[in-house]
Amino acid sequence: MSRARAIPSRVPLPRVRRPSLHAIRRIPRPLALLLVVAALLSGAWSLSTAQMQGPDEMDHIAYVAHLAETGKIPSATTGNAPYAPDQGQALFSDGWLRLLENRAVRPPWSALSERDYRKYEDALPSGAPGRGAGPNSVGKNPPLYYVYEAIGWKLTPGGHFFGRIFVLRLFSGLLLLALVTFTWLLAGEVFRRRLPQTVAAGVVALLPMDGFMSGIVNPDIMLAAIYSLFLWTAVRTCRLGLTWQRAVGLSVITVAAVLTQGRGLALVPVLPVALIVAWLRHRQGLRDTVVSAASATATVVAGFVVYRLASAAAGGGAALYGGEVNLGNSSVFNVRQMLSGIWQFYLPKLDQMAPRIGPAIGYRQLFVQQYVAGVFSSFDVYFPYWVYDLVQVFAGIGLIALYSVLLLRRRAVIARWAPAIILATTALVLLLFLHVASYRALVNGSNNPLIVGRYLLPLGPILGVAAGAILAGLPRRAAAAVGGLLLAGLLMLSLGGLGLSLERFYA
Amino acid sequence: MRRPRVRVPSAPALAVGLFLLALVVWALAKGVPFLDTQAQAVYATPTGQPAAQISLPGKGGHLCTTGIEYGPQARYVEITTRSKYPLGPIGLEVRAPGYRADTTLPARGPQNGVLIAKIAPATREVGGGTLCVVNHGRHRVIVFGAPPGRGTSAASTTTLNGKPSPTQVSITLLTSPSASLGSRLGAIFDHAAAFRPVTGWEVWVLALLVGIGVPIAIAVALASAAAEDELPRPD
Repeated sequence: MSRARAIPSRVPLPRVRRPSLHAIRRIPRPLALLLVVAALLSGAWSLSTAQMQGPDEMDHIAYVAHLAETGKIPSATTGNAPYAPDQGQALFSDGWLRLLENRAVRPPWSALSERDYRKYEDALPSGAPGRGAGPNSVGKNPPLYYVYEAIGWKLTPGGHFFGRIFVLRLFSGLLLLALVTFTWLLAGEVFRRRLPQTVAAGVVALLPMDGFMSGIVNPDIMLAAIYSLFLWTAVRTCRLGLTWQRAVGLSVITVAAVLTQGRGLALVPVLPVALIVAWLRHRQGLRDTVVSAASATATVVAGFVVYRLASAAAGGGAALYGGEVNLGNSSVFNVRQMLSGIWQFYLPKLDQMAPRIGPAIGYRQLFVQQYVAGVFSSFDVYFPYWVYDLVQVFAGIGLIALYSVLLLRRRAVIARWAPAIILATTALVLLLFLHVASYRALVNGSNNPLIVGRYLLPLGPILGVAAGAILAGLPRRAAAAVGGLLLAGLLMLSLGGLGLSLERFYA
Repeated sequence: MRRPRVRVPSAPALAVGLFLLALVVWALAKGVPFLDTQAQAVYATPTGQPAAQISLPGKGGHLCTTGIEYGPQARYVEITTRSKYPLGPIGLEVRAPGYRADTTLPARGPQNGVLIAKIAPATREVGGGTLCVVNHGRHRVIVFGAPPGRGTSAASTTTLNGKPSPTQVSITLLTSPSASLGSRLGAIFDHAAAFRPVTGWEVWVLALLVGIGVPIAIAVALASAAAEDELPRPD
């Protein structure tokens, strides 16, 4: 008798049917509509945010251009021309750099200035466009997002600089569609009813920061999409059982996250947790377990080799990644001080605590202002403060509602312990990772706390599932009412943000 | 006696009804006033925002800036000044190839803020223009400008009485000193289309799809999902 048979609590592996072409064609109507909504909002954000005005966007574009034109990662430290001639002309002569974080300045928009720029661009020698020498402040980022965007750079008809920015932003928009789709699939694994699933995906589609970040050139939106794919695959693996193919799949997704952004490293500790939870759920035999574990390990090792190769291409050794893995001076790292700082980030300072180091920011700035409600452009487009106050109140009500639902429906939650553990672990590890990186930066003398709302984008699917969980715990009519009001509120924030962005840049 | 039956709306009706009601209330309470907001209609900001000072001598002191583009919609010039003493007449010499629109602001009391002068617009867009501020008064006037650095324009140079000045005069060209956002939507969408492979009309279409199509799509998605949950589950 096998070990698996000896355990009565074992959940049998269900047979998985291959999706037929017919099933693929039949995208559920709510998902299809949400994808249309996400595409329209992403396009609107792309047009309402002036070019190169997203966070570090000019440097991300320079990275894509350099990679597409030379096949190499730009150096973060060396070089004498950070931008290629076409981008430099736009930034320094045509006023796009002057526009950055300067609310009184508008971008050039006359037909004459557009014609003059095109004349300049056409007069450049072939091979000059896109070839900046560095240094590029985001040159320390791993290359996956930029490789993806380089396809857009190369495919842009005409090959003009601003046309390419337009296409690069559309490519970012496609990642929002992936994020919405994977959140939908994740919610489908967690909920039996369609409304909670729809609202979970709707939260991600309508969250203003998701739309904004998908409308600019920035790897954070790809990291969010990869997180959503990981969460769906992990929860699905828990339902279907751990096989070596699924273990490899989860490992490849983790490697992709690590090769997208330094913050993707926060997914690495979640991978073994997901594999162990999946194993505990089904308890395969020893041979299958060993094969799965070996496959996952081999994939991660292969990913590490890819990382080393990419790292060497960036100039060697520790060139890749920035504050996320840079320990700085480890002698000043004080765990007690860090924990005290994290406490004070969320809760009032206790008498025996030393004041938190760094700027006076807390959960309101990170979660409410910069993530749920949103701060756009390069922090120079924002809502009136009463909006953030209101969002904070509703977020508090939402948290209380979630706590109550989880408590009242604890049996259902316990029955779904596997997805609950994976979602909670992912959220907690990412938050801890951000706090540790922030503390490292501050304790090493930086004024920048390195923790901003857009870093929370990977938590979007978890936020969506949390909203869906509240709805799933309510009677149907109440759930419908709350779901309608929640999506209305998020749409108001998105439309409001778009209006403010248009006013700031183009009025 | 029969009691009147109270019809409780179905879940799909509740979801869609409350979603649309909240949006309509928001549009009336916040959206319409936002579109009615009066603000300057900016034509161009050829230099940076006022953050540094240039001392312009009296009795004909000249402060000139190059690299300015004029056009049919550039109808006002805005500069920022400060003076302790009564301000004498301030002349503005607006020049570009084939275009000249000089004007003089009359003398006034001590000044601390923006000066807006109406100019005759050019008949077509014309680049390579200059704008000179001439102090015809007796006393010095502080003219605000952008300090050297990221806020200045590489395409523009400023001279004070013929000598180069590292601080650039802050100039804003306006189409109108005050107009509602709603009345300028067409111009705003044209501006958003600039330097992009789209036209102002296409931005209009996208705006309509976002403003009307997106709420309808979400309402249908909600109704569809809620209605699906009402169906008996095939177990």
